[in-house]
Amino acid sequence: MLLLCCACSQKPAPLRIATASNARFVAEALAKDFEQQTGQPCEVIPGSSGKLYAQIKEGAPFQLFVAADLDYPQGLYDAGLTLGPPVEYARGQLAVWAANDSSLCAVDSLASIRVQRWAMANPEVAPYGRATRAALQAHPKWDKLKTKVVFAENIAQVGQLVSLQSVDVGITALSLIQGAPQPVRGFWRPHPPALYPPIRQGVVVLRGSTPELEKAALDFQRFLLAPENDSLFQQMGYLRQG
Amino acid sequence: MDLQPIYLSLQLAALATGLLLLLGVPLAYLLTQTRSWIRPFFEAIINLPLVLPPTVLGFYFLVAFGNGTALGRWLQEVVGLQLLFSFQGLVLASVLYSLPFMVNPVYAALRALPDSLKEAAYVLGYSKWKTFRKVLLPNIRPALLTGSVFAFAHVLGEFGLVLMIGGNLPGETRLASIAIYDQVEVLNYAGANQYAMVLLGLSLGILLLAFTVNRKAPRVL
Repeated sequence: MLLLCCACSQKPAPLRIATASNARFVAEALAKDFEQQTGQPCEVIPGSSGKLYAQIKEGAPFQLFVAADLDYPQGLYDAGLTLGPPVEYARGQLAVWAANDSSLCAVDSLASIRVQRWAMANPEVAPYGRATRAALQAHPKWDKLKTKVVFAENIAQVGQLVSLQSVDVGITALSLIQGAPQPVRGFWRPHPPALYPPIRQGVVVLRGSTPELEKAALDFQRFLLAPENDSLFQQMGYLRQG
Repeated sequence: MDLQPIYLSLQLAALATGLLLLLGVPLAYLLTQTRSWIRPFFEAIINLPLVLPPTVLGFYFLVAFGNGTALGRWLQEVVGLQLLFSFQGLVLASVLYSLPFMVNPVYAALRALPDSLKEAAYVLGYSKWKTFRKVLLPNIRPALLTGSVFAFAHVLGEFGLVLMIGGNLPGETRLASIAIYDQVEVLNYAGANQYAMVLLGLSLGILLLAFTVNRKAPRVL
């Protein structure tokens, strides 16, 4: 074991980027570019924002937290665990995703009798679930839609339910569909962003590593926010404020 | 397919099984020596990981060994032992988590040995330690193998606990089971399937080997 550790430490220590599930593809793409440009190796650690938040509070060795909302990074900032306040890096978008029937990928179709079950992320824990609830509560048929809903643990699980056809329709993050490295089955359409409160996603640089890694983390944060990467974010299903 | 998570899982399982042999076997022996009224308490505690959801264990690990407690800070600052988000932490967690899988078969086998065996050894001048080593252990070899195999396989399959306290660090705590979960999360079922097939093959092979060896093992008594 010791030998193994020594062998690893020959290279510069990796920059560890804790990333909310919806942002993992974009973070992985950026990490690759960043590594090429600076030579600083990067590791993207995916997970749900809530779990990553708990792990960071207990001292997990991450240098950046790319979250699915602003509340979790704000919590870390308030606890004095970050090098600065959270910065919004992108706004997430909801997508309505149907496994088989292209006519079903709109919120209005959820009321159709052809939809027996539909899935959304649990609004208690998932930021995209909260946005979904906000988007649908205003819908005139919400009371009817509510009886057919299945709550998934997170947006990734919504994707699993749709792609395995356990449900007819799922509401998930557009980034999870458009960013996926392999083709995704079914039909989807973004839900108009005007119809739900913005999903503002924040990033923070975490305290407590070496000066070199903290500097690399700040560089990566700047890189993440740079206008040159706007098109990558848009391509992967996010909105960027110019 | 990145094979590192599989190597890491095998490494963890081997280390944990080795430690369990060193710890679990004496523990099982001590258990046979304790008074019968107090024994159920120890048995209950050792078997807790069988009934507790792994997430409960993981949650208590996270809370107990984190920065938020005196124990966690003492371990990190004074002892220099980082138990969360590290390989050594997973080793400790795996030993606790798989303890009943080692202790139970060994304990049952030790109890099944007739007292006359031990008494004969004592009468012939063997010490307690020598009796344990030269008489009792060779007679429970099948149980030692069963315990080791189940502990090993159980660590291979460990998931909830690792998810909570591992931190999914490549080369450090990203085990095969976590890699599968990761692939499923990104809807890469082909990737998940590759890892799952390797794990399935390994587990089946190990169990098959153990049962085949035990079938051939001569029954001494």
